[in-house]
Amino acid sequence: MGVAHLSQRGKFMAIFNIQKREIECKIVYYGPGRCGKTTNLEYVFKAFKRQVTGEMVSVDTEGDSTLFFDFLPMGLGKINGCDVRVQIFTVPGQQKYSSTRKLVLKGLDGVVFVADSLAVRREKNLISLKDLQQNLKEYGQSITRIPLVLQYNKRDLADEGVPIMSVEQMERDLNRQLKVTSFEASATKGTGVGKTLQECLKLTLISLHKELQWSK
Amino acid sequence: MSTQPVLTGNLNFIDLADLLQLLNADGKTGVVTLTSRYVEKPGIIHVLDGNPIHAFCDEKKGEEALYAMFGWGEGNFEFTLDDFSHDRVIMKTAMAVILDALKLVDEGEIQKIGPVQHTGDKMRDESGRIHLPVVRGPAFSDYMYLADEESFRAGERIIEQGRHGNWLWVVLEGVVKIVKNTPKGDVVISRVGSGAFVGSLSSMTRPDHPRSASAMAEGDVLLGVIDTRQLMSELAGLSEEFLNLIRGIENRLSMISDRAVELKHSETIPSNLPLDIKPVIHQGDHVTKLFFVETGHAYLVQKINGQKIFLGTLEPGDFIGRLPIFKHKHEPDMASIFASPDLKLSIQDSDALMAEYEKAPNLIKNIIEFTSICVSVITDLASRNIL
Repeated sequence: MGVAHLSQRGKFMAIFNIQKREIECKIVYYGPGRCGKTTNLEYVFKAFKRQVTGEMVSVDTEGDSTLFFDFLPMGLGKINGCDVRVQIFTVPGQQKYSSTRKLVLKGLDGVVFVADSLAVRREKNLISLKDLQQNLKEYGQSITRIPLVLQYNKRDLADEGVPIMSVEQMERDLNRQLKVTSFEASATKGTGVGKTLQECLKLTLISLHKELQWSK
Repeated sequence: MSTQPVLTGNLNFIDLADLLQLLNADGKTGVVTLTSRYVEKPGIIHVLDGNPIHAFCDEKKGEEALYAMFGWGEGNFEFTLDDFSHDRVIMKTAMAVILDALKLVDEGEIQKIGPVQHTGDKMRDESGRIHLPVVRGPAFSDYMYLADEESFRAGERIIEQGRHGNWLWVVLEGVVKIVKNTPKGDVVISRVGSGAFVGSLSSMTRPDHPRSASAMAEGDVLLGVIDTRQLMSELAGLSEEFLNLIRGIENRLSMISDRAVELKHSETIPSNLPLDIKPVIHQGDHVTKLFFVETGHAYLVQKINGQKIFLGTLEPGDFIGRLPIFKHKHEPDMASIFASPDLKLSIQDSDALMAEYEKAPNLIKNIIEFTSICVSVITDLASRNIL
C-alpha cells in the first residue's frame, strides 16, 4: 500500500507514506477538562491557517469538545527528503469516551500537556498527568521518553484577580521529575500557544529523526 | 464488476476506524465490504480518494449506515477495487466520520452487534434490579435443519428443569430467559436472543440426562425446532473424543450456572475448597496442552481484584487446559486449576480435535461457540456476583 508503520522499540509510530513522500505523525493535547486544550487548537487553527490543510473536525463530547486537524509545519525542514504532516488532536477527558481515547492515543508521537493555572484546579492537573502516564503505558509508551511539553495556561487570569498558582509551584507539582520544557500561556489571547506547539513539533521531529537513523 | 479483494482482514485485529484511517492516509479508492456472522447482510462502504462517500447497512444508507457499522464488534472486512457510483452522499471527511462515530459508540447511541448485547452501561439500575445482557448466536442460516417453527407467548415455559427431553431450539425472534429453579426460588441466569440455542447437544447423546434449567419466553418469541434426526446422524459421525469435548463444554456451562446461583444465595463467599489440593495451572500460565480428567477432581479458582473466587469442580470426563475454540474466562488465562491428591489426567491431541472442529457441520460449531460464550458471560456474572 506504500504505507509503512515504523514502530521500532515500540515508541515511534509515525506513518511513512512512500508514494506521497510524506511522514505522518501525531501530536496530542492532553490535560484536565476545561484547561484550554480546545482553545489552544482553535488559536493554532486560526493563527497558522496557511499551515493547516483541510478543515477542523470538532466533535461535541461532554466536558471538552474533541478537535482534530492536519498541520504542515513550515521551516522545520524535511526528514530523509520527506515532508512532515502532523495530525493534531485533543483527547476527551471523560472516561466513558474510551473508543475515542483509544483512537487518539494509539501511535501518538508527541504530547502537549496543558495544565490549568487556577489554584482550584491543582488536584485536577495532578490526576490528569497521572492519567496520561497510565494511558501511555497502556499503549507501550513511557511518559519519560515520549516528546512532551508542558504548558501552564490561563496566566492572564492573575490580572483579573483570580487566584492562580505560581509557576514555581506548578513546576514543583508537575515537572519536578519530568524536567521537560514548559511554557506560560494564555490560550484565549494566543500568548505562548505557538511557542508550545513549536517546541513539541521540534522535539517530535528530532525523535523521529533519531529513530530513522537508528533503524538504518 | 466484482474483482479480487486487495486487502482482507479481521475486525478484531484492525477495526473499522483503523481501516478507514489506513485507506485515508493513502487516498485509496474502492469498496469496503464488512461481513459478520451476527448480521444477515454485509455492510458496504464506497471510498473515494480516501474518504467514505456512501454506505449501505441493512436498510440504512449514507452516514447512518456507516455509523451503524462501527457497532460491529466482530467480523471480517475486504477492500476491492470494484467500480461504484461516485455520488457523494457522505460529506464529512474520514476523520470527522470516525470521531463522530466513536463518540456515538461511547455514548451508547450505536447498537453493538456481536454475541453479547448489553442493555446499558450498568447491569443494575437505581432500584437494584438486574438487567442481564442478552447473549445471541450467529445469524441462523442452517434452514435445512429446521423441522418446524413454534411460537410462545410471554411467560410461557419452553423447557421444565428436571424433565427429560432432547428437543433443541434456535431462537428466531424475541428473548428467552434461562431460569434455575432452586429451593430459595427461581433465579434468571441468562437471557438469550436471536441465533441462540435452547437445549443442549448432550441431551441428545445422553437421553437419560434431565434438563438442567428451565427456559421461559420473556416476551413473545418465535423458535425454530431443530430436526434432531438430522443432527443425531451428524453427531454419530464425530469421534468419541470430540463428543467428550462437547460434553465438557456443556458441563462447564451447567457447573458455572450452578455456582453463580450458589454465590447469589450465600451471604459470604464460601470457598468449599478441600485443604489438600495443589495448584496445577496458575492463572496466566502459558499452557498449550489440553487434558481430560480421568480420576479425581480439579477445582477452578479465579483471582479477580485481589479476591479468590471458587468457580466450580471439574470431574472425570471434563477437560482442563487450553482449548482454542473455547472463548471462556477460565484457565489458563483467567483462572487457576487446583488438583485433588488423586487427580489423574490424560493428555489430548488438541490439533486433531481442532481439525475435527474445523470440518464439523456449521450448526454444531455454532452451538459449541454459543455455549462457550454463555460460559464466559455467566462466569463474569458469577465472579462479580451480579445475579
